[in-house]
Amino acid sequence: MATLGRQARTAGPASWRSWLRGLRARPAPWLLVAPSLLLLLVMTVYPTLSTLYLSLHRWEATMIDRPFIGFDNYARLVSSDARFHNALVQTVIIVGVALLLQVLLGFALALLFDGEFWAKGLLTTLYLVPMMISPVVVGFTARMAFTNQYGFVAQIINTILPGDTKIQWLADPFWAKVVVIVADTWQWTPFVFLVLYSALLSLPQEPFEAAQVDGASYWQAFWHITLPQMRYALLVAVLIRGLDLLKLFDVVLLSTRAGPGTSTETVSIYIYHLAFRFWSLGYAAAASFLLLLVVIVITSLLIRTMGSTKHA
Amino acid sequence: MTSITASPSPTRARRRRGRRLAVALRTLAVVVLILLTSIPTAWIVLTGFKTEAEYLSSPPVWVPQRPTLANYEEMWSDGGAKAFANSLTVTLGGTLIAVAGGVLAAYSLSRFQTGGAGLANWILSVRFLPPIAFAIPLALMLQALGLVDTHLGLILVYGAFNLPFVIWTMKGFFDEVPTQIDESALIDGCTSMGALVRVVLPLAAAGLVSTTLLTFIFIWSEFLFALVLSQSALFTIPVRLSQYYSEAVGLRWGPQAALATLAMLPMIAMALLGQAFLVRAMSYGALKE
Repeated sequence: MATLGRQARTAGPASWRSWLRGLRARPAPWLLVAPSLLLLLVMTVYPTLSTLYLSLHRWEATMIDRPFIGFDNYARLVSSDARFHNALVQTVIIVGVALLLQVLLGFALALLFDGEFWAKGLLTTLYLVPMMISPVVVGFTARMAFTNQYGFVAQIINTILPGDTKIQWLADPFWAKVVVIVADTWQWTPFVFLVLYSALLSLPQEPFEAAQVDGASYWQAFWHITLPQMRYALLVAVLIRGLDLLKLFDVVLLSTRAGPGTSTETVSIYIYHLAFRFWSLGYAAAASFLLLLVVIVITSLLIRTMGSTKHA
Repeated sequence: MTSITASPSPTRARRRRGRRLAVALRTLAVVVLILLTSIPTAWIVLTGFKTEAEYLSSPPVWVPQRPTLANYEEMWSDGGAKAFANSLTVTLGGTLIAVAGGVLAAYSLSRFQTGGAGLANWILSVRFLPPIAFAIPLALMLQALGLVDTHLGLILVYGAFNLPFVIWTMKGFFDEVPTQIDESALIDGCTSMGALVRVVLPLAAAGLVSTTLLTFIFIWSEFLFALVLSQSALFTIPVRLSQYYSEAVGLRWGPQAALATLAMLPMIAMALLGQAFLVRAMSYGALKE
């Protein structure tokens, strides 16, 4: 049965025919996949093509004329749209800092949890709770926490800070980004932790025992044994979180509302504003397609990494 | 290397005492961590029971002095009931489609390697697609089909975008059921569908339950599609939660927190169930070991 799949992938006419023969001889496997496949094709492949088509037109929801303009939308995005460039910069900053924080924290916590402690199962599950909370709720919570006058976190920090220095969390471009990053890190460090922790559990024990016999310290064992073996899990965690961060939308919209100004307007939010506030559907589609290309490149990288983990 | 097992007894006693201490310290660190990460959630739940004076007080009031249900009443009559009904409908519908379709596909992928690694990887890649890139074409498509602002439109979208999670997670669970079991069922005269329903699925029941619950939570929490694919009649809880901003009624944090608590309800229920298999399902969809 495995050969059936392999033949189907090499797209020569001969293998095509043998694939059809296999299908006719044994239709059940494909019949089982068919409903899912159909729904996925309609809901993802058709929209992708439709996005490409839209992006080559000047398509304003308010205008009847929708002329074909080739790659003009793309050219405008890349060369002269300062707000798009700003969105790229904001996204890169937020993704970069959040990723770094979450990986460092997640790794530290994985090392902390990788040992004996009481009520381990229950406590581990409890730590994963933030992952399951709706990002909309997380964004709202962040807003409540950091609003200047009433925010409970803002007030605690203001009392700790010396003198009359008060941080304008949501009104300051820098601190607004901090709020978004803190909220996302609160929610998703448990995910990075989960990936790294399960990888830690599956590490072979022998090298550690040998290192102990040789008198290696905890840190030596960590640098020379743990870290090298964790690099695939780390890469997988970084790629998955990176892909999810590129979608960042709900938390930002509910906490900083992309402001102040456009200082936390990510690419996803800019596309949303273009399409559903300015109704420039063609232009928004071009931006969507660029985002999609980036995501597809990273996803294929991720899938290749995960494929190689199995054989490593 | 074998000499390590023959350590003298005084060191062993000291080591045991040291280990006790390490366990206690580790437990303390983990408990502190969990208390800290629980503060925001606790704050939301508590705020839902505060009076307006309490949730708009500076310095903040942590625990409501006279717990009130007024926020819940205001939230419920002010669109909350409708949002709850909408959320429940689209979540149940979307979960049903994703789980029913996904289980069949996962079984096929697990047992027959249908489509090879190419198909499996393509399905996985759908999980990472940014929803915003699909918002525009899906909105146009649903409009053309007359499905904007209908439950059915959102249900189909949710079903499709959650299929990859169900397929990958259930494939992982199915892979663990030995193939001899369904082979013997096939020999006994079962169809492959019968083997799946009568023999394999019951053995993967725990996995099915946790996958279904997580799918339910993903759809329940979804915001972007719900925001973009509905106009007025069809607003889910996350959409209603976001609307509190555009209203010129001052800060309605109490009712909003009550609605946020409602949004967290399935998640809270699941955390209380606290099943270890949930943890496994959560890591499966993302990372197949």
